[in-house]
Amino acid sequence: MELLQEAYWDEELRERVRHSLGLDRPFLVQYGEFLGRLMQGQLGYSILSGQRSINVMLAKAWPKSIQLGLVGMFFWFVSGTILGIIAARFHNRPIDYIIVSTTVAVSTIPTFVLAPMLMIVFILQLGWIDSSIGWEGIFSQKIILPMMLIGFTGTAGLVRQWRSSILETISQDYVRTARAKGLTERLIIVRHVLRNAFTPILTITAASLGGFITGSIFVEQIFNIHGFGWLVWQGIIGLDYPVLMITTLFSAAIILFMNLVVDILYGVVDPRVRVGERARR
Amino acid sequence: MTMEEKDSQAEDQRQLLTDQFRRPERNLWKDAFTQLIANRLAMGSIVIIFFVFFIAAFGPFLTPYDHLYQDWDNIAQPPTRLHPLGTDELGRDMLSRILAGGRTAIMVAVVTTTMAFVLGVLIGAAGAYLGGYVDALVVRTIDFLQAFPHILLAVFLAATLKPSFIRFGDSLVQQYGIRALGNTLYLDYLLIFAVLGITGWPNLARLVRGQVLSLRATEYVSSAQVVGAREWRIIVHHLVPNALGPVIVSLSASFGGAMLTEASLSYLGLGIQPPGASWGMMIAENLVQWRYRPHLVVMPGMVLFVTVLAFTFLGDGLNDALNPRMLTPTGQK
Repeated sequence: MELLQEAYWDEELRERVRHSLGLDRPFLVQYGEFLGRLMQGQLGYSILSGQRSINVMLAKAWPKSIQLGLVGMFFWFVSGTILGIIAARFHNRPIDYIIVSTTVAVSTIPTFVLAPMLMIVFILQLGWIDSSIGWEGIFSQKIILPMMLIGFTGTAGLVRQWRSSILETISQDYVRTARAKGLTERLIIVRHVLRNAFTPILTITAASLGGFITGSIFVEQIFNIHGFGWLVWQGIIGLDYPVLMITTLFSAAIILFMNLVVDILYGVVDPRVRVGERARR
Repeated sequence: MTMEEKDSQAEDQRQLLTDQFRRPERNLWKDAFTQLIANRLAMGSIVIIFFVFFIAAFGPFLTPYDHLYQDWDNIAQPPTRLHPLGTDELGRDMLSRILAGGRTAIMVAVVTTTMAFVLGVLIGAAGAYLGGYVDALVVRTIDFLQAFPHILLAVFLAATLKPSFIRFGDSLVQQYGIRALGNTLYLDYLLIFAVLGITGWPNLARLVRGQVLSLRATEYVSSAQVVGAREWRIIVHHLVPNALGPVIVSLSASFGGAMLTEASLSYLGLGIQPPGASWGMMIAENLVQWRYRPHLVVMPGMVLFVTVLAFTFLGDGLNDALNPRMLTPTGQK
């Protein structure tokens, strides 16, 4: 908060503002108070937008971001899974090579480069979408580009993971047994390979979460969707430190929490993880 | 023919025979080099990277205009003979600005990767060697820094460090009269270096720590210790050569990553400030008129994309060549 000293005001106003923001107290006291309020769920007040409570701002922003994030993750998962399975099925053939390098290329493009390019292609050149600026819920055509952009950031990782873990599972003994029994290729893939190849996918889901959050900053800024990422963007352009601090803290908390959830899910998906635990007892 | 001549002739012949039947010497680096040469994607990437470095070094001598020069007669032009890539809405030549932006990107990438390398190797090795409290502190710090989304942490640091950097610059100007530091462009660079230095080292430190710990547990290091090799000898002859492969791969990846983060920060308005040139900032400046002048957004975007992609593919190629056990899907095998 000391950073706000820069402004050139008259002394009295300055002192009053310093007092109201708690800047006249020692640093450690300020930090203690900040932590105390955080524990009670009071996130503080935005400096920029007329002392609005950050709790309210977050409460308004969350629903849009969660919807957008879920839709984006859905797109990410479906496209990554399909492409990954195809790449593994035709592995070391041109199709595999094309899929893997294309997804790597697309995931490498930063969101703020891909977004205008997709807009130019889909809106200006092809004319399939009229406009995609703004938020009209997830059943409007405006969701298509943001959804694709959020999904694309992690597609390469998912495709790689599916491909390598399917290839690894396919060489296992039980798959050979299934083949020897004369099961159809389709049944082998669905029942024996995909189920067992799924565990590493959970890891990549947790790892991609940071990408979704940072992706949402750029996507929401470009498409003017007033969600969590837009809040971060507002904090950045206005140098609104309380907002920046809370949003940074929040995204770290989400990531840690999701890592925990994924760790628990391991036990649900893969019984071997639980067996190790029981053996120790 | 004297005896000596005969002798030397026989010697020559023997040498010729052994040369013929001797197999070429092989070691990791030579193998890696041959494999990298054979990887077409990686070789293409190297060509692109050399080209970008060349532009960064000699760009200002190649450009037809200064990147700040405004041509008032040709504002917001599509590509013409006068301006091969057109001009932006302030009449600045896009080609010159893209070249200047390349200079920024390469400079940031080189400096911050060097910083990340030095910090990461020192801290990671210190953690692995000293163990105990130091190691716990190192691991906890890395965990802490990696819990945040990378760009968000960079944004947060850049936003909070900025005022102190500006104050620092002001005080230097007042105390010592260093005019150059009054120019905020240099302060922008310093800020970016600091932020990317802080966010860049944990990856490498974790890698180096893991490498040192696992290599020190190998049989050849134990045997070296048994025959009485000094610690320094073990480090130079056993640890460094074996840990170098993964570190080089990671450096190549962090090079592209640093460019990307700089572009992102500049795009968000926290990095290089106008009128300086950065690809990220050029995209942000021209994004508002994507509907009317798409080429102004597409060109810096494509350049950024191709450069970062080249570093990604080079990293994959290096990974295939140097870590044969961990193949990436793009490596043909």
